[in-house]
Amino acid sequence: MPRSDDRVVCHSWQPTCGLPIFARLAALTRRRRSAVAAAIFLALVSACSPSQLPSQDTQVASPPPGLDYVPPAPGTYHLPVIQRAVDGSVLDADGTEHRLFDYLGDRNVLLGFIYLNCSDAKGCPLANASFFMLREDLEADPQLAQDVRLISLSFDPDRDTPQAMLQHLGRDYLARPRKDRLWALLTTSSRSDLNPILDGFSQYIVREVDGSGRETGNLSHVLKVFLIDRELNVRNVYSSSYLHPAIVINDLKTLKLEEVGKG
Amino acid sequence: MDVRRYLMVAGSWFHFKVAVAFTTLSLLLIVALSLGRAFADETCQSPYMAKITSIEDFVYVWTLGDKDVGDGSDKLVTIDVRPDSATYGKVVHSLSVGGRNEAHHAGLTDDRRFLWAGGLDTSKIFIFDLATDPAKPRLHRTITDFVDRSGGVIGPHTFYALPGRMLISGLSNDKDHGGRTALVEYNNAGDYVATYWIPTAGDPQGARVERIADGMGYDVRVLPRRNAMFTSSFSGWSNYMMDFGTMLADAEAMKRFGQTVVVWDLHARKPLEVLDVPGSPLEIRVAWGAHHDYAFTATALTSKIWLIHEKEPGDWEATAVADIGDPAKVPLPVAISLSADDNLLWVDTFMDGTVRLYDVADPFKPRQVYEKKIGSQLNMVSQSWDGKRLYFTSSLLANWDKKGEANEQFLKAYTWDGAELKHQFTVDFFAENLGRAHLMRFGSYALYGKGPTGDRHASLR
Repeated sequence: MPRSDDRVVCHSWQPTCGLPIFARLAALTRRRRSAVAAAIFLALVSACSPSQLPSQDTQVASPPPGLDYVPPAPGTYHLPVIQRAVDGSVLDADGTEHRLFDYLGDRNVLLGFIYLNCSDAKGCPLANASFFMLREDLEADPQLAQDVRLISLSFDPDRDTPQAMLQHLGRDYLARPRKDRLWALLTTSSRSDLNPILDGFSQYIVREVDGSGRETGNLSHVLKVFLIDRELNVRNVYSSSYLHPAIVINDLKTLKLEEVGKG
Repeated sequence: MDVRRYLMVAGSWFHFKVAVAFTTLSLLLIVALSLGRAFADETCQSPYMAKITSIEDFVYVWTLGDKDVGDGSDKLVTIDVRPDSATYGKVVHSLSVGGRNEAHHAGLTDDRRFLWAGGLDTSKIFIFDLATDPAKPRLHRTITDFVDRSGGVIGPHTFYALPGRMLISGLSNDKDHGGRTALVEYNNAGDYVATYWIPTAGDPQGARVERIADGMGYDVRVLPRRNAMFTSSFSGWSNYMMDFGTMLADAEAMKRFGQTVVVWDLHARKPLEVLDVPGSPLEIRVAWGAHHDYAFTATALTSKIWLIHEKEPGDWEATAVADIGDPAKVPLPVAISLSADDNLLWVDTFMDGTVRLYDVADPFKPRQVYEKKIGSQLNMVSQSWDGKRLYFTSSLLANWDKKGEANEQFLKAYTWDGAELKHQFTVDFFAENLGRAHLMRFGSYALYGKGPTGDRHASLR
């Protein structure tokens, strides 16, 4: 089955690993989840790119943990428009129905497609760990955070009900009103609602089946996270190779500088 | 940022211990997965691409039309390479695009649903749907305005998958039909995104120029771990569409070949260094190893293997590390293929139709360990991930291929046992009324959850 690959150790991943990372994360408090997510993220990315940890007593720019280089500084590069975002009917983990565009336009958005039972270490768990890390970084930078929204959208509507999304990822989710949530958890009510969204973003998945043609529950896919600006344009697409908070934060700051430049 | 901030983000020793436990678990998991990796698929492809985790089912051949062969048109030819198939080694499908475009290279999208194939003369791009029926690709879309959309780039050559996008290296431009050209980015749907011109002496775009900046292009490859992208340099339309013998006798034309490899900031798409690599460096093959910060290329005119390596972080160097055959005889190295373990490099030479194998375990000291004549002329080579199966094709360019009896056109399949290439089958592209065989890409039913009878064993969504 298809597997996204990386430059180094991860030549070809077996589809299952048996580690229910989401379930374990869900069992922890938010702060503990953050610590665990950080550790998982560092383990995942450092296994594929030997990190050069920053020295405590040097002022020279050093690569951030888990990254092998210093990403280009915000505003020193341009993120071209890749495509338009697409709309669709979604269900919020709080149980309410919305359009996807209800979550776009007012902020710059990172949209990642996941499913809760994903056991591909370089798939959804990496995306989820990255989002935990991003949330930490954004909460430390309220000025940037107010312009950003993270969205995890499930491509497994059969199992990932709003209740399941809430249980697995959003223990403190309901404490804030929808518009104020930094990280929105979305699913859809059916495959027919989901498919146009997947098609629009070219997020291709394969539902694995066993010898008798019965679905195994594994959804084979290539990890993609989409950076969408306020004008509903996709400005970057991240794979497992560079879904790193330092890169994403710089891209978000680049978009913000662009907005400032436009006045 | 400090690693301790991440690890101690919860602010308690207990949480830190939990984190360490999960880190250990994750590392064990990664080791286990690495040990369990499958050995299949073609090497030297985009790291962003989905991979075949079993033996390839098909080889797709982007085939240049010949006016005296079949319908005379370029076509995508599908060859069954399943050893247990009744049609093993046979052409099972051929899809003509109508007309000749100087069919050359092709590349798969990151999800491998589509194969993009270019024409160097017309600059048309044909997007084939492989996912619907991997045994019978269908034409999904034809891009006919590449030159206008890109701002004057002609000759779409390499098609290299980026996440959600296709990066295309051009060969020429519509102003003077010379070698000045650019990288062009499209999204997976086939819509234009951006153009990045190769740096020139007059406009180095901030890049450090070692000796010369010729603005030329050919191949493109990336090393995401180092945020590095590499482009090589060939020649423009006025040369690659010229008769080969005429060009060799034209002193001015022979000056119009690339002499550089450009190292780019991958994320910013900005050129950083223009390295001096005289003799027209063609294919670039990036090493896969965790600490292998290097790539190989081979120069067509000077017949050398070059190593592009990182001396210091962010400081790249090009070093000629070996001759290919006898450079004085101009064997014309064309395609190269690096094994998945970075230890072996196959090098095709067009003029003598020979493939040579180099031990490149020490990348600074390649050592030829084997050679075999494949045909009267030879261009492309593709090897499986386990290095056990190799496929060769014959055509270089319509006006550069040999004439008469020497103009053999074939795909030949071999197995490699570590000591000898053993012939498995040949498809004669002239006898089959197909044309001139060029670029190969691997296909598989498993990529799309399909079986030979269609969706019987699968549900795609």
